[in-house]
Amino acid sequence: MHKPSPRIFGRLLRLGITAELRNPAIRLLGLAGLLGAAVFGWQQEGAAAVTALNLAAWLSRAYGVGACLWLGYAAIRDQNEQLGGVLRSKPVDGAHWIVLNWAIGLGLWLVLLAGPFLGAALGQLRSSGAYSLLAEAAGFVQAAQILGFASTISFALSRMMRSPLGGILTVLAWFCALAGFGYIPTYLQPDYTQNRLTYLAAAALLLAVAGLFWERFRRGELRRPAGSLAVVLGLLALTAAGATHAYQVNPRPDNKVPSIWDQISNQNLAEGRRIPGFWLPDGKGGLVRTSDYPGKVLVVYLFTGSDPDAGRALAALAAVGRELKDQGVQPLGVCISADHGDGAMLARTGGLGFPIGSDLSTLSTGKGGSAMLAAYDVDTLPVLVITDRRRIVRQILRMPFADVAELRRLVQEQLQESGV
Amino acid sequence: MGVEVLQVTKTYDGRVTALDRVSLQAESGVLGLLGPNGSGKTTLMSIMATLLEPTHGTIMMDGLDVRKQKPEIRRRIGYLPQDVALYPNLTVYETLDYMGLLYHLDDAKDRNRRIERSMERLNLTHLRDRLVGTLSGGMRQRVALGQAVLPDPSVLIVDEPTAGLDPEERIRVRSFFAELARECLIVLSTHIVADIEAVASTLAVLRFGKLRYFGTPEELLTTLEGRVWTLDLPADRRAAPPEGFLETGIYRLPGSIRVRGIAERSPGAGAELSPPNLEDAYVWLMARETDA
Repeated sequence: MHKPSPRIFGRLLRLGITAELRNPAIRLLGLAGLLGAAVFGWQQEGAAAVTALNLAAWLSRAYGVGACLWLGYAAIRDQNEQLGGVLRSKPVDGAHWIVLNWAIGLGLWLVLLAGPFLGAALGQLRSSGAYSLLAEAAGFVQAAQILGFASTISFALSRMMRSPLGGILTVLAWFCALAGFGYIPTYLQPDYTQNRLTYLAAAALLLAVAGLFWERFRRGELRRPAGSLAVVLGLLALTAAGATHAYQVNPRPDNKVPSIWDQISNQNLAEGRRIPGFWLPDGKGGLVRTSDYPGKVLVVYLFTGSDPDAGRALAALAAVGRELKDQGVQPLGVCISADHGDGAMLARTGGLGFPIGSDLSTLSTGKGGSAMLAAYDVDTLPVLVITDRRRIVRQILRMPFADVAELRRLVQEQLQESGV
Repeated sequence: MGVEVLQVTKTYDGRVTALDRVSLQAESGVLGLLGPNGSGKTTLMSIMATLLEPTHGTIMMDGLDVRKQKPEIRRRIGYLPQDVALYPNLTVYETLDYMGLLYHLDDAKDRNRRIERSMERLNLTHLRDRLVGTLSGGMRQRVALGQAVLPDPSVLIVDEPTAGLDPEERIRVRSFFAELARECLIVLSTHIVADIEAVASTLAVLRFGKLRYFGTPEELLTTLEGRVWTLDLPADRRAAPPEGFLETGIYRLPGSIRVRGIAERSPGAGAELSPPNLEDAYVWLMARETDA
């Protein structure tokens, strides 16, 4: 069988990618990526390496999923369309045609992936000079490796299955693996009950595919079953490893009988239960303690320093605190911020008139990133907690409150129920 | 140049017989394959194009065996299946270039010469920079034909090339076949009798996978000489056809209808003998088999 020379292969590749890039939707995606990353790069001026790392992390996943699905379909497109009949009647070596199809799909997505990195480099050219080009090129190489690896598995699996389902399965397996290694948000991981079906479905589908290959092998339709089975079993192992790891890292409290230690370490916030107590530095050399305010209606506000609404909320809290001080209302602020100076600065210079404690264990504002968030079982900030005079939690507001009037109404409702 | 089909049988899953001991041969001109849907035309063409293996028998394409010499045959044939999907975002020239590369026309100058010639023959030169996706169905079909003739095939296999085309495009495609038939053997599958009538030099009629007729169209028409009649009837008094009269066409005239058909003797007063055409012959062949 005649083998195409690299020059001929290159021309076929160029024509194939050109055809795909003329698709208006693809052009729009490319342009959006370029401009979006240019703006992002411009805003992150002077931090080219960090920008490149962030872009590599985000884009390898976003574009990687797109490439997996695209190549999953491209792998079997020639089998679905009559063009396949034309091609098979030509003196084209099947293996070369498959490689060409793969290369066109991969080439297209590498071109698309290069757009945002180029945009970011251009956006930072003014502040970082030629170094931005170097940094973004390194970021591109890093993302391209991940995209190339995942989409190639997707292409191979779809080709072997003769179905674009291979692309979807690859994405599922990749998703499970990302969950296991903590690269996706906590609320998408399998320790959340509502997500378990997704992981179970992924595992069941992969098992079904393994069974399909076995059946095809039994019928003598697969010439090289070892390769196909290895890919499927590899994906299955990846899924299982990811899910297992995620379960180990994030044990579900309601999944087992909590130990005494669990009960001590996780005094989760719940209405009708006593508010978990805390001792926190107040930024002025003292401590903020819940035990310092016996018999008071506590209004505890957990916030992060980077929340643009925090200033407005703290001012409203101060106003209500002053207004209802005589009725025993005591506001307390708890700053959860990786920048440990945020809370101290607010306490010293804010003129708020009530104490603000800082959780100095904070590494991030995600669950598990701070001892307070872990103990209170809080995923998202801000959180407002109102207790009665016995420090029993009566109200938990997990959204920012609207204004002073709303906060006053909430606290006064609690005062009325307390008989004040 | 030539095709020789030798006792070819094709069964799917051992149950459905798509072709049953079909034998025929053609050296040049246009071999027309005629038959209703499901008669085995596409299966026979797919075996010729080396896309399917025959269950029994074989086909010699240009002296080469489709069972044993696929690569050599693929170099020598052009193939155009029905509804071929081309890249919509490539221009006409780029499409032909792409296909030329797949045919291993590696020399750029030679490839370019063939593309220009192909575009000229199919009246595509003025469309060379148009994207294929923006072309009409007929234009796209001409582009598909253009790619099939790029390697100067000794046998061109085309499946339903005029289906869905407007009359002007159909005539253009037929003219192209008539001209090309001087250079190579064309195997043309269709269920449009007029296509065969216009260009076929040899005719094979298939039904339920069996060969019902093989020969020249003229020979087939000769068998119906003196048996095709036309009969004008009042439009409001459409009676059942006379016994032994096989209708092959009905035409509406002002105030009457004209019935055309085949009978051994005159079907009634006013009936006139007409020269047979292929449509008459096709209906006659199909009816014979139904009766059988």
